[in-house]
Amino acid sequence: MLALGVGFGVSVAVLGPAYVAAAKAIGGGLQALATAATPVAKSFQFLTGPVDRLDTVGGYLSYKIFPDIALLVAIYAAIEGAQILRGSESKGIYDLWFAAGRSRNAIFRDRVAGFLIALSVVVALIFVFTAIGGALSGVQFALEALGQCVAFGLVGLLSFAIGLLVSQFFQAARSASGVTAGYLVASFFIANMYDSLGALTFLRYLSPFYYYVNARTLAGTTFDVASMATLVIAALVVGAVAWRLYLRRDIGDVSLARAHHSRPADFTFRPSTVWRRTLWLNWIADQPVGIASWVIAIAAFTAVEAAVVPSAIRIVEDSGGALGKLLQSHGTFLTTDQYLSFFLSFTALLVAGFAVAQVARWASDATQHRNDAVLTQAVSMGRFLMERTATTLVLAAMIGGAIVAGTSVGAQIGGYAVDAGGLIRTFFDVVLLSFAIGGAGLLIVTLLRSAAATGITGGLLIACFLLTTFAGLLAWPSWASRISVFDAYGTPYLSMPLTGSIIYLAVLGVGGTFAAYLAMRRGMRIVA
Amino acid sequence: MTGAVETEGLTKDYGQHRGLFGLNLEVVKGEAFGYIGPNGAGKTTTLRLLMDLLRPDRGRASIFGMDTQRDGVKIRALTGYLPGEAPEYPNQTGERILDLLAHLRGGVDPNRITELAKRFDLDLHRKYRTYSHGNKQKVWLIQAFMHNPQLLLLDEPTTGLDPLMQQIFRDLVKEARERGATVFLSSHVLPEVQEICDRIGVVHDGELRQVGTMEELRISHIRRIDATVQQPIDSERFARIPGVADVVVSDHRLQCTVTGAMEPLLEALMPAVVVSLDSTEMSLEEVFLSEYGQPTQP
Repeated sequence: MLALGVGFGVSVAVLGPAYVAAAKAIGGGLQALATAATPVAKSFQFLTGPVDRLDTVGGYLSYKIFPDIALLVAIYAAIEGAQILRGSESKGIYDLWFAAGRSRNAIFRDRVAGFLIALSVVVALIFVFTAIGGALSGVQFALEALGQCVAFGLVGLLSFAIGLLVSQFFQAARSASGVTAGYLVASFFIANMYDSLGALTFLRYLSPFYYYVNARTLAGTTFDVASMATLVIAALVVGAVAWRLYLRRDIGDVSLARAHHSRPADFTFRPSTVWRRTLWLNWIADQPVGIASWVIAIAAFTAVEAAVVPSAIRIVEDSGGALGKLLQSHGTFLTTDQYLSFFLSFTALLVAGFAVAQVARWASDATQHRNDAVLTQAVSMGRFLMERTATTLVLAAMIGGAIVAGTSVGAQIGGYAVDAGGLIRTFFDVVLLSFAIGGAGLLIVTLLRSAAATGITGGLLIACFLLTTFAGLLAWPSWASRISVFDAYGTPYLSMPLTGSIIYLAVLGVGGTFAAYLAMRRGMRIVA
Repeated sequence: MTGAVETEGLTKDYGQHRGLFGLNLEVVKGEAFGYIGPNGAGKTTTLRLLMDLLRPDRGRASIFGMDTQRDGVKIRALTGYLPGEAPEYPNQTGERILDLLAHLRGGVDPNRITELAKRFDLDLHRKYRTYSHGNKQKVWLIQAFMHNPQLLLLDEPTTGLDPLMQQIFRDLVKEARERGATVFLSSHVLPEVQEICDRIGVVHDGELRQVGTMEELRISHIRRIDATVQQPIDSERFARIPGVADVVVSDHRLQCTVTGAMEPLLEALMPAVVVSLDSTEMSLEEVFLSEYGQPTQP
């Protein structure tokens, strides 16, 4: 929670002065930079939402980072909502609270209060850093920053309530988190591109982000009280429904549980088909819903990205040629492939997210002693790690396949042809990136054997992302960004990644796996 | 090293004197060996070292003459291990869990799993998360016995089992021994150890304190004495007698424990005119409690 607030806060505080510095560097100040950048920014509107007042630091922050903040705070809140009761129930902690004399209502009240305090801290931290960033940029927009922070805070509140509600229908907190996060990501895109949804434009009313957009006070819009009130009322209604369902259901069970029909006990053991014959197949068979969710979400995301390429280029072309002239002066032109490549670079983040989800699963295998069950059969540590790696590669191939399929479908919708070579390079680069993150994650899980491994892997990837984002902007030395796996991933749709980058990712994957093997052999107290 | 289980100076140091220190132990083939000790004594650490889930800081261990680190896979193929902490597979049925583990192990007869499920009265087609504590334990007992292993390493095997199921477990151990299997059993249920095991090792604070047969442990140790006398007696005088402990004197009654020879106590009692005298062998549980910190209840 602190990491979220401080991480985003620092990013906001750094971006403002960097934007001002960039405006000075190109000459003509913020106005000139805004004139050049606005068409490009608008072409990415499906990712960022409306683009306004790029001639101000507040407008730039509102476009550049606040959409990410709103989305990630919403996902954080949704996961908290899904975990806050359900997670405790599945771990058996809830029973202890009950045994200690707490009522259901008291537990609900305590947990919600705890979350509200945490959310307030996140919002306050980002607000303070935004105000500092403004001061460092030479502008005062504390009030506007407060308005926008309150807006994404209320999105977080509603997301929390949705997570709480969804968790009443799932026995596993992780499933509820996944479903809620999926809904929020989809609603984020709906809010950004609802005007191109035809008969489905009404869906925007179901998106918390649609209301958030009406209070982007940093970008000069008014603080729309009606939209904010809608978020609050929706959060209260959804939260109340979740509360009622929680009071009516069995602890540990789900709302609307099917009636249990008694049947005679069945003692007969029937060996299964191929799925349980190897560890890697078993690990894949264990998470059908999770894998399907990721594959479908990534395919859908890339399809949307690919489909909007022509309209994005049209926005730039319709901008009066200012950007075209600017690009021509640098001897470059915008092409479909360049746009698609840029959009596809975002899929590296999704691949990283998927890899972190796998690391979380490995940590859970360790803490819940499933690894002990496997390793005490006739299975060597080497085989165990090889099968982990095989799982990573197969899943990465599925994700890569989803990206290829999504891009192809999106290009078909957009009416243009894709470069087969670019898709093949992207596929293999995705597999390589997953292998690299997987290898590093495997080592971290082996060393720590706790949920902290997931946090550390995620933290390292966020650091990589920030390095890639800021190294160029702040003119850091080139080696700084080369550490980042995202930098190494490159732009495979356009060109083959650098040999050094390929080697770097391969070394991370192989080295991480081998180091994990050595760590296991050395008998660290902990076994992955 | 040619016994079923042998260790030499086996040490795993977690710091702050936690872990296992210098374990020298031999369990012979076909033997049932009970391994007892209080919580945190080092029992589970020993079993995890034998299964190569942990690597020792010093010393070595072998099973059937094979090094636990170098030949871990071969050893595990011959061994049935029941973990002290049950792994969690919330979304899988008992059948699917056993299916995976049987495939990993190889050569498991499906009919044997069915037979064990019937004996333990375990419905294999329910999700693991819906099992009671005892039923979860049955899943892990079945996986330990399903391949008729030559060695059983069992960590608290009857945790959560009702008395009927405990009897089924004891029957399975008996059958395994009849097949020639060796049993290494860690337990807090001392009557169970007393019933199943030929020899017992007592581990405390990470060190093996005693090893012996039931008889050896009883003879060399403690008897409980309850005597009624006619004359008043001085409790301090009795407490000073070598081998006498836990002296409680009330009215004309003396209760105490005696380690070793009885003669000094009897000589001291004679002047007080003994009316009645009960001398009972202490159960393993009482020996254990009296030796390792908790007061013996007379």
